[in-house]
Amino acid sequence: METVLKVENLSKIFPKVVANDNISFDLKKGEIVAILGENGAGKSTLMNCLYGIYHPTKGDIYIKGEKVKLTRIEDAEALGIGMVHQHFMLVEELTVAENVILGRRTGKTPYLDLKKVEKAVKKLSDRYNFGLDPKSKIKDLSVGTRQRVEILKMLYRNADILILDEATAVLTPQETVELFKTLKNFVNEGKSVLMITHKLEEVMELADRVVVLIDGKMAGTVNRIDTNPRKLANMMVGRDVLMDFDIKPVFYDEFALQVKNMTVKDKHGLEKIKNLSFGIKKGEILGVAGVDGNGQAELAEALTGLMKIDSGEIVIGEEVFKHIKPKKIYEKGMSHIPQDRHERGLVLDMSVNENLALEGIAHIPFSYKGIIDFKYLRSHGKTMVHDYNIKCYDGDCPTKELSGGNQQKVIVAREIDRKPEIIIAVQPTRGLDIGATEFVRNKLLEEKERGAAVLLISTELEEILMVSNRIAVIHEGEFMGIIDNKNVDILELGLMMTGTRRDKDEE
Amino acid sequence: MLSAILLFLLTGVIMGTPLLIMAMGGVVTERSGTLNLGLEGTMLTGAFFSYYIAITTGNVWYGLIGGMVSGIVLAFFHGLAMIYWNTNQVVTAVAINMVALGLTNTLMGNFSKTTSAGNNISPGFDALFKINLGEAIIGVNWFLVLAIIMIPLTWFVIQKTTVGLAIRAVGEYPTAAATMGIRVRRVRMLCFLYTGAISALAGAALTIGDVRVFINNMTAGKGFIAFACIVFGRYTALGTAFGAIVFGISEAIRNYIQIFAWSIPGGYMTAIMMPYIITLLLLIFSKKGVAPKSWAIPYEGDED
Repeated sequence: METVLKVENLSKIFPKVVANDNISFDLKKGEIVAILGENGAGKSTLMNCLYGIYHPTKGDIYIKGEKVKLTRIEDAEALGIGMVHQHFMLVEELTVAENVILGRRTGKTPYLDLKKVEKAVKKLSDRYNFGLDPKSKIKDLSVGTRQRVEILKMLYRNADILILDEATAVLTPQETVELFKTLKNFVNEGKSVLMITHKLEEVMELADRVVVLIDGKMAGTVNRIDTNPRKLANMMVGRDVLMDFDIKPVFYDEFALQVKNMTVKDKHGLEKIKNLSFGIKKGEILGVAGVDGNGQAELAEALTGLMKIDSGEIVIGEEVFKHIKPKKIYEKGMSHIPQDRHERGLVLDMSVNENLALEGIAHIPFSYKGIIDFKYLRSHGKTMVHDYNIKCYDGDCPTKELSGGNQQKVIVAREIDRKPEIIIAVQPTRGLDIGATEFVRNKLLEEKERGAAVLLISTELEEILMVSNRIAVIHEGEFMGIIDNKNVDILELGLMMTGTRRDKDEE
Repeated sequence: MLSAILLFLLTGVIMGTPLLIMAMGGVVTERSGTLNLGLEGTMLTGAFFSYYIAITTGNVWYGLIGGMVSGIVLAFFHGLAMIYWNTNQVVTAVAINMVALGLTNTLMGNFSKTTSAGNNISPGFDALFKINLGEAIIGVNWFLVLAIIMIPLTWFVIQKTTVGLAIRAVGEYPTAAATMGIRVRRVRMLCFLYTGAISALAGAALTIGDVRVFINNMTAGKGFIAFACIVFGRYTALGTAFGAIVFGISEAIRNYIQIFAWSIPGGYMTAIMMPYIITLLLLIFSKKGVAPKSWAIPYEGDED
């Protein structure tokens, strides 16, 4: 088969790091190749080199047999390379057709002949069964549909080498199935796909071959049929990885946290949480699954006192709260691992030591009568950095200089080290690599076994399935049902995520 | 009655001509996602240089072109700092406006020394026709025609051309536009230079298009009002034009009050402040949250 893309000894060296070191691989016509690696393994740099955004320091790129130099995105596009970005590159205020034609002309003059574009988009959409309306605005479309627009954008530009960057990160299981179907169609038509991912199941399901990167270097290239998830994980991390966690049953009977008929409205007066009731027992992890933006953020913020509760109540232990303040939360032994670690979790310009002490700073031993004990702050920081394996050259280093995974470890260390009774964890592993993810999940399980009640809100179904005792699916501010993790049907969960209510809850 | 309303509207448009031109020029930059509070400065520079060049060369067209070039030059430095060096957009604009004010004051001061009171009138554009409003006579000139043409033209360019699509895209989501091969900073800079030229043209409308003299700080906040019109007009060409006309009408009302000595509460002071009060009220009651998503946010991408 014809080789459409070949990378030879490519290196990309940044002033401080070698992001890609001597990478070589090829992609054939009608083939799907996965680039597998952890965060920071150099996947994105590699893709950016192939897309003309970065320029390789060394090495060559061949497209359809010819050596090419990609200096701009247009160069890559002219050669038929199209990229589907993880964060969609779509202008929400514009229509599908407008997004497709952006940066191109419709004729010789600058006049924008939208009718013509709409027709072409419709035709392409029908051909691939995308079901797109060229006239609808992006902001009115679901995430899965938006991704189809992204793909269609590239097809409109005649891409025959499609690069997908973590394409399934934002999709529901059903949408993922649809995407995979589409991709299989492509390669059957003789197009080729290069997919960047850190998800092993995806690779196993879709790829013909896998290129594994570790720390910017090639760990190897393997055929899918010759490998399995465990082997791939080993290659990717460079050591044995815990793939399955042992979820112990709940030993306690008392509820640590109960929510009764809680309703939360946003600043526009829209109900984001609608009459929600649930309870979490001591030593239990309740996973809340759902598509992003269905009230997860509001649920967490209401429980942690960052958002006002309009009606209903929260019961912590025995104590009933109609509304709760963040300070009270701290005193009641509730920990919060927030969704946005930069906005809510850390003060990036402050040091690691300071961030580790952020919540307890008003209390002994961090301070006494308002005077901070810096000596304690340092020694506390030092212990935590060691215990939680936070990689930084010094506890005094500004938190912003840490990698995302290590920043998250700072939060986890701070929130967990004080042995909380309740942990509200929102997307605790978002953007983390396998190693850090494994660490965080393990910590949550350890805490649960110690007797903490954990509310784990995540859009990654896989994560929820891995550690939860029970799984609740949230849709538009309501639980579509709560299922015991032992009797889970993934497709049913997927249906619930899109708004199908389960008839009966299990306790 | 109908003719009275028509006349009222017309006076509004006439009074608002420089504002209308400037707002039409300004909306393009705002749409591309850059905050342009330097309209006042470019307008003032345009007003001075068009007057100065027209009077020294004796050619009104040289004046017009020279004025626009001065606006482009000032906008170039302003845009360079904001768009390419990502300086603070408010502070930079304040600096640009101060430069414009100081520069025109100084140059005018020097120039005044060389002229006597009688011969400081520059050539200007003659009125196409005049409207008699009883005690006041207002001339209609080419600037008004231009202002009116600019309304549909600006709308057309923004909504119906690929250039306009690119402008809208970089204002909303510049990173996405960049992945489609659009050079974000270049688009923003070109918009900015265009606005500089047009606001200088609006300045020329004040001098060579109207009174034919330059008075220190004669723009008197019109640049900021144009900006207010854009915000009030929800960053659309037609809305902005509407805002500018409303403001022109309120200026007309003020003039009527002064000319006919109508008695209103607060008297003279209220009359003087009328347009500003109306602007403020419009802004307070206009709908909010419609700015382009990346408005006033510098583009951090590293290509171009």
